[in-house]
Amino acid sequence: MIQDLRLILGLSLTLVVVTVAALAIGSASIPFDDVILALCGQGDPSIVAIIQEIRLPRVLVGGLMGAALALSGAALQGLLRNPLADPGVIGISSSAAFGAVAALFLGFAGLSIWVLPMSAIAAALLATILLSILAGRDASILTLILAGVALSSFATAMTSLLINLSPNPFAMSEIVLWLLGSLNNRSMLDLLIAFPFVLCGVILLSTVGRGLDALTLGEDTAATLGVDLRSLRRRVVFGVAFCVGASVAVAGAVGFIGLIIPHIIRPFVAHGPSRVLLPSALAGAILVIVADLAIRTIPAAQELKLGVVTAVIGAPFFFHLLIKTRRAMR
Amino acid sequence: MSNTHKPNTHKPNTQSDGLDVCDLRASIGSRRILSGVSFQAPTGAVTGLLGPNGAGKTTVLRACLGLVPELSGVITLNGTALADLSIKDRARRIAYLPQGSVVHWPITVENLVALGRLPHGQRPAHLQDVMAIDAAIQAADVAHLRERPVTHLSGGERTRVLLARALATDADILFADEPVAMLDPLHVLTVMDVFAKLAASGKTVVVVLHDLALAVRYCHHAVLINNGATVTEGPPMDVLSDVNLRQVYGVSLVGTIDATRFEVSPP
Repeated sequence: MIQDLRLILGLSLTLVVVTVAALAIGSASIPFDDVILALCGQGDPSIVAIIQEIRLPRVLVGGLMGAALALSGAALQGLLRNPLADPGVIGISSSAAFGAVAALFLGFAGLSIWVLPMSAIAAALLATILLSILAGRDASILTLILAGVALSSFATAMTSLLINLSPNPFAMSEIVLWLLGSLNNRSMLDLLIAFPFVLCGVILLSTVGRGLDALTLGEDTAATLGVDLRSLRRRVVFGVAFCVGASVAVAGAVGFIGLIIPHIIRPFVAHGPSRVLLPSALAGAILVIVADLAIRTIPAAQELKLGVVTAVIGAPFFFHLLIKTRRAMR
Repeated sequence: MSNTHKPNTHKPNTQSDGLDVCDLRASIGSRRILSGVSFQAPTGAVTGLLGPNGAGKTTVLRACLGLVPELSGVITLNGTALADLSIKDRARRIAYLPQGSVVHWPITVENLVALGRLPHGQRPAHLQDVMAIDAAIQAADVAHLRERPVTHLSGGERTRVLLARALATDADILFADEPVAMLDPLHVLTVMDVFAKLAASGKTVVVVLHDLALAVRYCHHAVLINNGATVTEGPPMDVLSDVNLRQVYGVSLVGTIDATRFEVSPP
């Protein structure tokens, strides 16, 4: 447990360092002292504007999203006892994206700023429930992945349909670019929209640790250890839906964070399903902030989209995990 | 070995010590799994649940653990109906060692055994928890495996680690489903001795066994189940009579049932 505290402390410090670095580095480099001053609203007004209105929201939204996605992945993997259960891989993210696109397409998104995230969360919830039904009680890796593929294809097909039907090319390109997943031009309002939902999700997921530990021994034994499986399942499903739905609503579909991070963290916490949760959230935030920083600073004709970068790195990683898991299952 | 045989009343006896199971009936879909199972498992005794494959032994255990939905019948433990216990209370009073040995994450043996303390609420920081975990690890003879990931162990080693997990709960009653199926002769004796000691310390032990000679040797009380119903219960030698063996198992005995037996040899 001391070891866990050390890991959490180390990750927290890294997160602070990375956050400050992400604020300082960019098209205009800003010295450390000025960053701190600008955060307090002091110093050169143009620097204050860059830090407070452009870089800070972007870093905070990225960190929040990374933490939410990695935590969701870790919790889902604990519930399904399957290291491949990532909200992106098994179609929860794409369902949430469909919910958001539907809200945009039908014009409801204009009614209130809350409609888009609510719609994304509702779709994520539906997808997660559907998935746990499809995957059944004793979900083998294969069943789960296949159910996820089916769900993911359906959500993608429905999203494509909406894009296909979209009235003008401008709206179409807007939706497509948003779907790629990006932290570009995020404002404090985006943070404000996502935060309460992610908070709800995190609170729900912070209660599931013991249940996930007990599930190491399978559902029957977990039940005899005093775990209320129905309540546990419900808390994970809702927690994941809140986290993923809100993340997708403000930053588009960014995949594989929930797959990569818990996998990296697990050896450091002796593979304990509850012990992996908090460090994963911290590391997820670090990963997204660093990835976004890299995207901003790597010179390219077109700014790369965050979702594209995580997919390019994440998909081969998924292959690697799949091969490894398959070998272990034999 | 004394036999603490109680008369087979088939009525819920709320005064009794130990486990009292009365008229369990359960179906899965249209298929009837249990059609009237009644028996007692006295405190301080090892009770063997015997019967051929598909007799319903595992379902009886799962029913006693509250894992079978749509169950009729009354189960009382030390005078309290199980249905009246909260999930938490039940978890503290009943431990379960299921058949097979599925462990989903490569956690260490020590961490796995510590899961047995989950029903007691606190993380293993309390002295009581640490002592229970230590005692369970010693009893199941897995101290040398302590730091190893469970997924790297052999089937028999894993069974003993899971037994240690069940022991760590320190419950009033332990249900074990074919716990010795994968073990070598020495560890069969080790595990059965653990059950005997547990019973001697005042706990109730209910164990599903296929090795009838082992049942005769270690069980104080035996329950014979066939086609989802109790055939008879009583002292193992009486329960495993020639007539019952022929009727229930379709085998007949050559020689005496515990003629060949192993002892732990001195080092």
